[in-house]
Amino acid sequence: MKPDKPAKQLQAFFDEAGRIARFTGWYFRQAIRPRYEFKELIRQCFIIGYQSLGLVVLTGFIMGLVLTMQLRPTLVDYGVESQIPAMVAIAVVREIGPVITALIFAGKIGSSIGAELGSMRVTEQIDAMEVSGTNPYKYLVVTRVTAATLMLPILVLLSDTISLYGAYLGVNIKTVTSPDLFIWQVFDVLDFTDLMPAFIKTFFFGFAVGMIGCYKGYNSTKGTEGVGRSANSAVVLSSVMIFIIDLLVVQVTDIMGFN
Amino acid sequence: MANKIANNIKLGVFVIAGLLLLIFALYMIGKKSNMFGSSFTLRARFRNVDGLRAGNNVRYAGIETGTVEKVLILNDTTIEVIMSIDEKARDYIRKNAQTTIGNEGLMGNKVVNIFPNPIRGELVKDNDLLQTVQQADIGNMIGTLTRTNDNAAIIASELVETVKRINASPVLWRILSDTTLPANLSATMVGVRSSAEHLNHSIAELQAIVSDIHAGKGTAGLLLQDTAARATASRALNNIHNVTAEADGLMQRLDSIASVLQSGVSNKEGMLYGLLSDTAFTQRLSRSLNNVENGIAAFNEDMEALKHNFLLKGYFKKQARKKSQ
Repeated sequence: MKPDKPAKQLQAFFDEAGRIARFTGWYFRQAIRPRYEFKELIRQCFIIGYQSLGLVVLTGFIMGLVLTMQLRPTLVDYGVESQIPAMVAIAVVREIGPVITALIFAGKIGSSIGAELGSMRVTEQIDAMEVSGTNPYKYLVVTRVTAATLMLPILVLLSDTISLYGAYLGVNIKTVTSPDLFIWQVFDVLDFTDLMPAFIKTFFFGFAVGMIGCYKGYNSTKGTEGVGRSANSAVVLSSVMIFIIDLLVVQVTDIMGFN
Repeated sequence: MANKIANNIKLGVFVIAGLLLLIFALYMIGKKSNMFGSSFTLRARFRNVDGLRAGNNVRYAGIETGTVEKVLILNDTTIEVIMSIDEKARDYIRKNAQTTIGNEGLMGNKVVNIFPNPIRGELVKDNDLLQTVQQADIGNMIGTLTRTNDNAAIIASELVETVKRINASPVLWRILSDTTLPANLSATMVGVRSSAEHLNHSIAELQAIVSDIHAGKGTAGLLLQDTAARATASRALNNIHNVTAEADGLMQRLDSIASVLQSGVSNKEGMLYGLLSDTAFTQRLSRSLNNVENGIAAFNEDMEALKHNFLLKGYFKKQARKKSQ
C-alpha cells in the first residue's frame, strides 16, 4: 500500500484544487446573477470589516512602533536616522501592512467563516436552506466572500495609517519630528507604483481568505470534529495563499516595472 | 431595528474613513507629481543623465517645483530630459538658469537641480530648453580619490625609507643617546638668551645714540646738526689744507737747497764741502768757537763784577725791582 500513498496524496491534492476551482467559479456565476443579498452583504461587511477593526488597529499600531524602534539603531549607525519615516512608509505600505493585516484577517475571519459554515453544514442548516428554496451558496458564500474582498482593503488602509502613526510616535521617542515633516517624508518617497499594487493585492488577499474559509466550512464533514478542522485548515490555507498571492503580485509588478 | 441602523452607520463611517484615507494618499502622491495643479514643460539636454528616470524630482534653488516627465535619447551624445514644472515657478525660472543632475542626499534618488543665474535673464516659456552643467559624478570622484591614494602610498613609502635611514644613522643615534646633550643645549640656549639680551641692550643704546645724534646732542650730533660748527670745521679743514700746501712748498724749497748743497759737496766746492772735508779748517773753527766761549765767559764775569760796582749797583737794583713787580 505504501508505494501508492504519494500517488493518492497527489490525487487528493489535485482533487482538492479542482473542487476549489469549481467552488470559485461557482461564486462568480452566483455573484453576477440576481437575486442579490444586499442586506446580508451589509451585515457581513459589518461583521467582517468593522468588527475586525479593533484587532487590526492594535496590531497595526504595534507594527509601526516596533518597526521604527527596531530600525533606528541600524539607521543611526549609518547616520541616516532621518530616513526612518521614509523606510517605514515604504515597508508598511508596500509589504508589511497588507500582508500582516491579511494574516490577522485570515486568523480572525477565515476561522470564523470556516467554523460558522462548518457548523451549519454539520447541523444540516445548509441542507434545510436548500429545501426551503433559499440558495445557500448565494446567501452564505457570495456575501461572505464579497464582504471579505471589499473589507480587507479598507482595513489595510486603516492599518497602514495607524502603523504610520505608531511610527511617528516611535520616531518621537528619541527625537522630535513635527507631524508635517513626518507626513512630508512619508509621501515624498511614496509613489503610485508603491500604493496601487499593494492596494490591489489586498482585494485578492480578502477574496482568498473569504473563499477558502467558505470552501472549508461549506464542505465540512464528520461532525463537530470536522468543524474544528475546517476552521483550522481555513486559517492555514488562507495564510499560505496570502504568501503565494503576494509572491505572484511581486513578480507581476516587477515584470510591469513597478518595483 | 435601532441596533441594525447603528451598525449600518458604523459600517458607513468605517468604509468612508477607509475611502477618505485612500483619496488622501492618492492626492498626496498625485500632488507630488504635479497631477492636480497646472504645470508647464521645460527641457534640458545632457551628455549623461546618470540614472535619472521619469518621476524623479525637479528642484529650483532647492525647492521642489516639478518632476521629470520623460528621458529621451536624441543621439549618441545627447539625452533630453523633459520636466513638468509647477506653474507657480514660471515667474521665477529664467532662460539662462543652469540645470544639473544631482542626488537627494548621499544615496538618494536622482534629482534635477535648476540653479538661478546671477545674471538676470528673460523668463522661461513653455517647452524652453535650459542650459546644463555636467557635474562631477561618483566615478570621477573615485578616480581623484584613487590618484590621491596613490600619492599617499608614495609619500608613505618615502617616509618609511627616511625612517630607515634615520634608524641606520649612528651619528644621529649618538646625538640622541647623549645624556649630556640636553644640559649642554640648555646651557647654550641660556648663553644665547643672555647674548640676545646683551645684543638687545646694545641695540637699544645704539638707538639712543643715534637718536641723540639726530637730536643734535654730543660732538657728532653738533657736527651733523649745527651748521655753524660745520662751517668752522670746514674752515679748519681748509686751513689744514693750506698749511699742508705751504709745508709742501717749503719742503720743495728745502729740497732744492739740499740739492744745491749736495751738488756743492759732489763738486768739492762751497763752504759745506769745506766744513765736511777740510779737517784743518774744522780744527780752526773749533778753536775759534772755544775762544768765543772763553771770551763770553770772561765777559760774563766782567759784567757780574760791574753789577757789584758802586757806580752801577743802583741801576741793577732798580731793574731787579721792576722785574719782581
